[in-house]
Amino acid sequence: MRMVFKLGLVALMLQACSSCSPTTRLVITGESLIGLGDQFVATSQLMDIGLDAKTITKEQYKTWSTFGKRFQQVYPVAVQLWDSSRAVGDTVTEGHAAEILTTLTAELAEFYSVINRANITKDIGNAVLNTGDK
Amino acid sequence: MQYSTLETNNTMEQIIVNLVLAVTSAIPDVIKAVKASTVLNTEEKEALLNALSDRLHKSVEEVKAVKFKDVDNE
Repeated sequence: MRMVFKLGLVALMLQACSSCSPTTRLVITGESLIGLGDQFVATSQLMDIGLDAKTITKEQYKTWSTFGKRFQQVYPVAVQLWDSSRAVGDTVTEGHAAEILTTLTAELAEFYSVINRANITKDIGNAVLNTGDK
Repeated sequence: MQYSTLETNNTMEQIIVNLVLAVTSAIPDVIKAVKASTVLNTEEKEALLNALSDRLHKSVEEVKAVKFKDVDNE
């Protein structure tokens, strides 16, 4: 089941739109990248809470930190690719941005899973992220 | 972002449901934007992409602003 996630919901959405217009693909990739960025920030807040509450181990946090620092380098590259793709109308470049999006989403999902198992809950704006097992 | 939790009996299923909801939280925005992109004229599409670009760059700043704790020195 986990592998299904790794292959990714976002990838599915993008692949389903392989014949869409360049504008539509840019909209999908762009909105998805924003969603991924939001998810990264939210996950970061939850990992900090989990570490403070000792429901996340130091080792788990170190793994998260390593991934997070790489994410902070790779995410802007994906956005740059999106910008380039838009500027020159190049669908190949947009495809690279989508690939990065898919990879980062799969990796971030693993940490989201850790948070779920640790049963961490936090109010984020008007929404509540409930991660506890019932 | 909009999150919710569905009641399930299986732990793995619960994790998966939450994950799906979290990862796909942007989908309503995507659907709305995609619908808009198919009916807009060239100028409006350009404006849509400009707004999206601005939000993307704001997102990059938010991602870069995330700090990590130094667990070895705490």
